[in-house]
Amino acid sequence: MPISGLVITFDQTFGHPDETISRLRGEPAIEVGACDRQQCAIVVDTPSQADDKKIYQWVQDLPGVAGIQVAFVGFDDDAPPDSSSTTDSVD
Amino acid sequence: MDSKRRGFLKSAAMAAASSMVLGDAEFSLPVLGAADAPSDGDDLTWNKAPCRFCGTGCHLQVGVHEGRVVAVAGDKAAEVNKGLLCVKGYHVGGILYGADRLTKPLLRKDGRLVEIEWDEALDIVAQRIMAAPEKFAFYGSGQWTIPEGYAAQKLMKGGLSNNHIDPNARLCMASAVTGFLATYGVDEPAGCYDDLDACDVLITWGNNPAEMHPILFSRVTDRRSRGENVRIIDISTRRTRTTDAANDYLEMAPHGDVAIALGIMNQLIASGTYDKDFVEKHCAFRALESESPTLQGEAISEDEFRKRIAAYTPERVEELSGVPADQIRMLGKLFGDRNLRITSLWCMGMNQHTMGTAVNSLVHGVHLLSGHFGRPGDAPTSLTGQPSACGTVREVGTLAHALPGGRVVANPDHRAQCEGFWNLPAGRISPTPGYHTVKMFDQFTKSSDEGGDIDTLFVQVTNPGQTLPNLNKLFNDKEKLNDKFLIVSEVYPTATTQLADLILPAALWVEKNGIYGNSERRTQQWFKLVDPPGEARDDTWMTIAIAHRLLELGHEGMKDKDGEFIFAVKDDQGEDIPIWEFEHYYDTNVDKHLFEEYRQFTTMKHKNLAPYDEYVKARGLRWPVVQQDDGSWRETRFRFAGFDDPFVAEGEEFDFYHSSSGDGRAQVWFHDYQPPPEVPDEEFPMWLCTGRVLEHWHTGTMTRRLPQLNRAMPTAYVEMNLQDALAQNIRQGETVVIESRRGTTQLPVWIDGRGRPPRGTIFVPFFDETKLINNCTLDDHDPFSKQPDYKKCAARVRKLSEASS
Repeated sequence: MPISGLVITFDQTFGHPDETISRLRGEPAIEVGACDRQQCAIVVDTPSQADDKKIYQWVQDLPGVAGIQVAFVGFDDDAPPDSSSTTDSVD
Repeated sequence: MDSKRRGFLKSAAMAAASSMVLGDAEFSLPVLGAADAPSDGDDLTWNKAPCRFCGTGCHLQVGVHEGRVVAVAGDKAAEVNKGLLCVKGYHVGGILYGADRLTKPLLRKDGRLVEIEWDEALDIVAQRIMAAPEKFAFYGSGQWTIPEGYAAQKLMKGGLSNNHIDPNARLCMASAVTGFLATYGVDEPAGCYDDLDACDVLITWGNNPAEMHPILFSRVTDRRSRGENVRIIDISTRRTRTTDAANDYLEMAPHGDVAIALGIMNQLIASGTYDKDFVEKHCAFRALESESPTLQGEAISEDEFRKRIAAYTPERVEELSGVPADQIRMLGKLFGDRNLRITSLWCMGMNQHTMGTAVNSLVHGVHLLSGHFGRPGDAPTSLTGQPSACGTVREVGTLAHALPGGRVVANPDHRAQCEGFWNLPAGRISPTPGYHTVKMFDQFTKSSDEGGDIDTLFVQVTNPGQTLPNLNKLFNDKEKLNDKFLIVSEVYPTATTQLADLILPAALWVEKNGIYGNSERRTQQWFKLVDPPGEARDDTWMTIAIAHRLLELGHEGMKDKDGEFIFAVKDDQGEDIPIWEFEHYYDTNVDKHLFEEYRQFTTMKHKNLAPYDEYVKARGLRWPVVQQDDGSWRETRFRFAGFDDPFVAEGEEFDFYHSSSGDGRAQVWFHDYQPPPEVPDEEFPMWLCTGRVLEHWHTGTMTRRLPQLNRAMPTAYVEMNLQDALAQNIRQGETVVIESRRGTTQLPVWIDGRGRPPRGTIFVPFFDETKLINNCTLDDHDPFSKQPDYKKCAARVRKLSEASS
């Protein structure tokens, strides 16, 4: 169950970051923190990796969003293991 | 996850993100004090560590709960990344927890790997070495920590009198080393990452930092987002994400970089805009000898240089490089403008090159000739791909010809100095360079009857079964040779462990103490934060334990001249601490003992390091680090420049104090353009280029086990130009066969994807062990650095149906 601290950077030429910030506040999985005309801190808390990815994409597509940087990530204890092993090791 | 910890993590996430917004109203990448790092909560403790992946050297705060890494945050106190992390970095904690971690030594018996005890494993290794010490080779890594590489170096050169030790960094930055040595007489960049904060123009030479060094690239794009004007010029053989951010894209033919650098120098001379004052005071000219060329070359006059460079007119450079003559003139004008600050960045594109030494030297020459050197923002800077390629390989000298601190085995004074520091009898260190990587594996995979004189090979912290070029020649042949014995220390099963006879389970990253040295001369320390799983153990311990077994077997080289074990560590009473027994390894800080011993070596080449405890307090320090009158330790941002380098005499503007001409001057080189060793023809009509992707780090051993990254980039692919695909009736996503004269692999096609190659070029990333593109690559290498060229060879693309018919 991912928890991420993200920093959104707004496009310099975008004149309405307040509208975008309002839309962020309306998304239940997002908690909005400190913001200014250039940047906005958010925390994304979702029940699954898939939801996390969807939210990330949704944020990225919002008007005026020039980039997203990751400040923090909390790990999911229950993340499914994944392996690309090709070695014939035996127990 | 319980709600209490969840709440704590959310608070920490908000604190980390908000502090980056509020940190500095003028500068959106905040610089905060160490006290602003995440604080310990009631169930989490935080500690610093550098990232495990690339050579950038970002610092993290690592959150540990009940002996497990549960959270990672960018370290706001770190100058390198100022709290930011890339997509790989913020998932780095998960690399410890793949389901298939190796946790027991495994010995191959009758074709199957079976678990054995560490005692038996160490006996097997020691007995193999003891039987024929001269046929033993040690293959290491730019991911070795400094103490790991130092211990391996001491075991081989100081203990076994055997110089067959070489690292995987031979494959990624050896040409950068020879370029620095040829130009300045000493290795590693003069500038640092601060140049990215000050440059007006950033030129990326065959380099894609937007994906490979994203945090560094963000320092430039962040400046733009704040309204600063930074011009990015991307010189490349294909369009990448860096191109997307660039103002200018100059598409060159493979090997075109050599011609472009020559063309810029031609324009500086022809227009008289080179920096006459800087050149007169601080530069000399040099070229290869016509017979038996050497890395040092021979001095030539400025007139001779002018005569030779006159041949590289913009029109001729256009013919050689494919870059229009007007663009070459544009670059010449930029470098001729002293009001600008210009930084060049490069990495594998210029290093994995059969003219790697030449093109590195030429780009340094462009900056020297134009005077774009030594002011913040004016710098020729090579980047490394591994976290300690600089610290462990270049500084500790874990190369077949080298000794610690910039020394070489061929120099009797250097050998004597090392024997002195190690308290060894005179003559212990062999004067003959060992085998470089390509030669080492060639000798290992050749039968003993045919002269293959390496019979036991120990691989630590790297995956040559995936990264060597021309795998069918240099690695896969091992399978048929029963008298060859491959020992691999690893954390996960890999393409290399597939052919291993003995696998030793290794501790990873914060499961052990460590020290790395990044691309800007920054030495970074961390402490062990969690236990490794099962019986996985530290690589340094493995080396010391093997050395002690050899001592027990009577190998005289494991004793110094006073009869003491070469890795002896004493307690306060003067008694040996048995660090070769793992249960006692952490009775003391072995890293600190080794580092303090290694520090003695660092002053000869003015790469002075501070005491270990200074690095415990810092987020890394850039060498040379010198002690001030008040007892504090001061790092150096700009080498050779009087305003910052403590080794430049007061009043001097510049001093290249390791100048190969012995007069404080840097060398401006001339090299003639030479074509690549293999070019497309009728049979193999495409250029094949290989490289990396944002989501995976190198061979994917770690990142392919992170579900988030593996889902984002699940498979390797071949990038094709749409017109080439149409001409062969190849569809998006179709699996095709890539063939060269050396081997084949099958890959899905990605047309106009993330990277966009021009017609006649294909690109394949090497992270996927199920699709080994290095079956196809060339093992031709640079004559001085011995670094192979992974960036260009001839290949063809065939539809699966055609290839199988």
